[in-house]
Amino acid sequence: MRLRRTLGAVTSAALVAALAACGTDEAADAADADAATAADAAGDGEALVIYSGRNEDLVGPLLDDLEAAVGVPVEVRYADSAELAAQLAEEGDRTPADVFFSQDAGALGALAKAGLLAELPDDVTAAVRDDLKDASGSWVATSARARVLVHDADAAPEVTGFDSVDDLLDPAYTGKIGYAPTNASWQSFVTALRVMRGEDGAEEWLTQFAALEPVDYEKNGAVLQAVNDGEVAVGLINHYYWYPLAAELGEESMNAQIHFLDADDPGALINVAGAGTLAASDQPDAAAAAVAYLLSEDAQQYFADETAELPVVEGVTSTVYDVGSLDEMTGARLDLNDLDSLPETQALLEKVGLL
Amino acid sequence: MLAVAVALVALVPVAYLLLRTGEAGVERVVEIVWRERTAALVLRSLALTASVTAACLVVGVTSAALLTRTTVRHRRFWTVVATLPLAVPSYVAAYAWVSTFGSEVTGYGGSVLVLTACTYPLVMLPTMAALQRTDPSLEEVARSHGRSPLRTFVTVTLRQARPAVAAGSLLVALYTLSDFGAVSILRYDVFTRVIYTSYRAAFDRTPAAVLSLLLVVITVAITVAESRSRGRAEQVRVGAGVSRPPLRASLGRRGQALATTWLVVVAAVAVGFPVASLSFWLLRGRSAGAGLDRLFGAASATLGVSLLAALVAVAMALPVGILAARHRTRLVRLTEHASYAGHALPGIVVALAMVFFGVRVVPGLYQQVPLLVLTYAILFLPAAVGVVRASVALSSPHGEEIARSLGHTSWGVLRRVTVPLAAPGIGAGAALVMLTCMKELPATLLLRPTGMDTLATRLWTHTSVDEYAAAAPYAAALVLLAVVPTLFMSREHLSRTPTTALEPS
Amino acid sequence: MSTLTITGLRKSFGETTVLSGVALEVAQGSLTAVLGPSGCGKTTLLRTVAGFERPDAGVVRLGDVEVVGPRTWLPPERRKVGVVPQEGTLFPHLDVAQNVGFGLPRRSPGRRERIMQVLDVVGLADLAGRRPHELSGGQQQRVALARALAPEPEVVLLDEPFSALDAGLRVALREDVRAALQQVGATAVLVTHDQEEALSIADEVAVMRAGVVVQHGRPQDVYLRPADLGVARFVGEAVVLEARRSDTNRVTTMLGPLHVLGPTPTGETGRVVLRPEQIHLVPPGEGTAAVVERTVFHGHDSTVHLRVHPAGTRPGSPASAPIICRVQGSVPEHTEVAVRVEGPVVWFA
Repeated sequence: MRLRRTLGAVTSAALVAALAACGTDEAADAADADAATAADAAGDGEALVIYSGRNEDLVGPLLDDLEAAVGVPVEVRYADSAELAAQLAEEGDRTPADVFFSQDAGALGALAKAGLLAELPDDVTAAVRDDLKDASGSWVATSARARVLVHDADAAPEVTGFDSVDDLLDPAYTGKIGYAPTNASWQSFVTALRVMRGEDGAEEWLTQFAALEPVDYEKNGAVLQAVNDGEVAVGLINHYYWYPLAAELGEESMNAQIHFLDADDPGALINVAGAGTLAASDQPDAAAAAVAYLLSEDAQQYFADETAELPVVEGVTSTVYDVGSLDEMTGARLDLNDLDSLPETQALLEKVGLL
Repeated sequence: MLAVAVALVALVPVAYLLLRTGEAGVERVVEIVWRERTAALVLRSLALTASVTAACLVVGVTSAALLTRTTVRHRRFWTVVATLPLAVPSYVAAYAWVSTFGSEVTGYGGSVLVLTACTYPLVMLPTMAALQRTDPSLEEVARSHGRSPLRTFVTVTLRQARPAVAAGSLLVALYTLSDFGAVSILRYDVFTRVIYTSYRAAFDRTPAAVLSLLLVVITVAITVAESRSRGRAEQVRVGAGVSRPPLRASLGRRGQALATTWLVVVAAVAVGFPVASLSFWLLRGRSAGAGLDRLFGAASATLGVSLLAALVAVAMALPVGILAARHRTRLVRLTEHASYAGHALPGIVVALAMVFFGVRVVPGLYQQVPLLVLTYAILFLPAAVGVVRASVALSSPHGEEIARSLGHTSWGVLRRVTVPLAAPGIGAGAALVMLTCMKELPATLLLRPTGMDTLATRLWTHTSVDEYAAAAPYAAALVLLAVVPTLFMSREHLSRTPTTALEPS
Repeated sequence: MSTLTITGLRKSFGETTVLSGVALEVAQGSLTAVLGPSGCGKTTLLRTVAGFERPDAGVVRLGDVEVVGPRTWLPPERRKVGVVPQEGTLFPHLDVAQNVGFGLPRRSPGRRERIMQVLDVVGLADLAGRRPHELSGGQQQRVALARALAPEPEVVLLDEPFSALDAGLRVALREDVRAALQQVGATAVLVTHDQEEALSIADEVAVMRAGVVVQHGRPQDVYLRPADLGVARFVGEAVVLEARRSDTNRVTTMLGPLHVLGPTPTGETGRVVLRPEQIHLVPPGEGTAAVVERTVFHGHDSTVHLRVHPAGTRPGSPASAPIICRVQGSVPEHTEVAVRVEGPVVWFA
């Protein structure tokens, strides 16, 4: 008897909770003005589905605006870019996704190679420089970020004079350099190193770097934190981590200072976030319009002001952060499509013991 | 039949891996497996797994013994507190330690510390259940033969509890083997990292699949070893004796102090510290309060799907667990081992397998709650199977026979005798699954209905952009919600009436 | 209630043969005790009849219904066989009434009455609301019997139902169970290794050994005319003597000439079996001379172990067989006595 009561209670609790879960879906949607229509439309297969590898806290508001601009209901799934790329590859032509918004070019390149991305209309990508989009038009960069050094202004003031990552190869920095070895941007940097200096040149640099016993961190943010806390003297990160922290804490009270290397150095590599439309999309026009929106002036301004990234469309500059323009930072004119040799990069990193 | 069907469902991820591996061709597979690094990382993973399992044995068994076999004060409170670490996602705990102590806690030592702190309840809970049911007369016999209480406990009592301890250790070992979140934050390079790297950097599913399959092979080896160690020990208490509540060692003042100190230290490390760290984020952070409006929705969605998953997992575990408890044939053992497949694989691998099959076989359910719940059930089936098996094995099969002879079909017997008798254990299993589901992340991200948040996905959203203060309320909600199933489990473990033994009492 | 007929029942577990062709008939309304040492297969026989084990061959019939046969296999729930296991095995999650009603349809009209009726039969009507753990061992067994009887089974199987109880309770409960079974006219099979239990409450006794029924008959017959030496030794205490045939129905033994019961002995030499109570102590000179070796006191009587010096042997030479007899009171060791045998004995070639 007692058991039946217990089971009954558990079952009804489960039902209530499940209903609550559905209810909160609606509640969350209702909070979002247009999402109710999105939910309706989803049933008709009309909603535009965006798989976003970019974080909701960063691009959520932008994608809300996108829905209004494109004029169709939009549903967004957030996850890591690489996991989403794997998911899209598994889904193949049955994917519910229309647009893939990726944190980095690598995931887009992999999908393009697998033939899962549709060619974007020329007029959508026209505003973006050729070196910031796929040659066959499968994807386009939407914003960019530069590799930079951050350094402890007290412990390593000399970094302000550095031109190249080679300047780091000084035994004085043994155990004092922080980096994020699993981070895609770091690995892109190593790929750039390989492309620009050849396998031998890259291996030599990495071997010397490894000899300095650099301290590995899980993420760029953690590297920046470590430099600011004085844990390490120098860190290799992306530029946009520094600006919001500097804005928050006040630039002068920041222990960690940012330093851009010479534009032609692989250490100043530009990485991009980008977007592409799925070949299996059932609404290619809306999908293309969504990508077009990401390249619109509004969206570019958003990246410049909200995420401290570099706009990829000329003429947009940040009104919030004192970040340079993409043009002055792109010296190392690398074709981003040349950076798709990640397995070789990883093999090299394994070889020198950095992965 | 039902059990075999469950095993087949549980094997979906393995089928997917075989499919992917098959595409690779023998040469590629050999090349991937034969890399020097693969062997080195397998050894590292195994070493970490062995250390964490051993540490969990010490912490889990000691805590279980204190809570069930001594008169330590506030047992109920401490039972709940000691179970709570299950609700702390290992990546949150890892972050708490790293953000406070930096590189001092990274690497092997830190990984053992964090993973032990998060998983020792998996050993403690089944051990507590077993210690409550061991026959006190055996201990009395040992004592009368001149063995000290401590030696009696180790040589007699623990021996009886061995199957439960082994089952718990297996869960710990598989969890450790498949964990990625904690070790990546703690910067300890293990096997799962290669799997993730294969997805993350190379966008190549083949090496990931091959290596995951290798992980499955290792898992099978471990589960076989566990079932050997369980051996024939799992038997019903024999003899006509009356089942009595377990003997409790009465603690003197020093004993109380020591026992309480132990419980305080374990709780401080496993729950206190991560929670304190969360509070610190809240105080310090600039992102405090951001996205708080979605807390309630995320909490109720988490509660809803994990409760459903617990029910489904238990429903799936019942046929397998009952079969495993009652019949030890080769097919049954195979079925039982198969049910462990999902648990040893990194969540992302299982999630992608369900993406692959979901979108092809049940497109209507793809990225809907039912498929998500099924995925949870596959991931956490072993926890439920282990508990069901253990609790069914504790009741004598004679009762079921009697029920048959009284005119009930095998289905009716299941419903009216087997399940009701095993109910406390089954309930605890459901609670355990629920706890584990609540913090699941990789599968949730890929398979949740678009727009649905869980506490874990919100936590992920905020922490991946370093907004720890915004993340804190979600982590806190996770721990708070976890108190509910934890209370349920601890109540079952503390209940005095021995309703589970089908013996005269 | 029906007649239970078992023929040619065989069952092996792997290499071990447990039942090797069991045949047994239990008359309607009678109680048959299946008596045998542990490992003889008696529990397996019972489990096979109940449907808990599937035999390799053989037929089991309940009345006109074949429940086990070459092409038949009724699952336990369709056999209408009630089982009372060794330790009661009550369902701990149900109270007494629910346990007893377990085999009754849940919404049958006379359910409550039937439960009270059978509880009344076992004398526990006032404990209907108790939980199993609130009952004594004997009460648990009574509830188990009531539970088995409630659905009016064709046959009731009792598996050593008294073995877990202490001696005094055992005898009392035995009588009560006997009475309860008689009251409802149940066909019943009781499995036991206790010969006293078997002989005292059963209408018939079937002695099992090594997977077969070696003798089946009324208790007196089994006791007084055992089918072979093994049965003789198992069913009660036996004194076995070397014997030589002297006449059609007479033999010569170390205890002198004895009368042979039943069938005429064949062959010239053999052995005879007599029961201790047939041996009487008499004053020296009035029977075969013997010396008391040891006396074991039982309370109601004593067992006296004797060394016999058959006619023609010297005192002190080893006795050919242990001889025991029962006496009231006590006899000191080394007392020189004489023994005399009363009643006929059984001859085995």
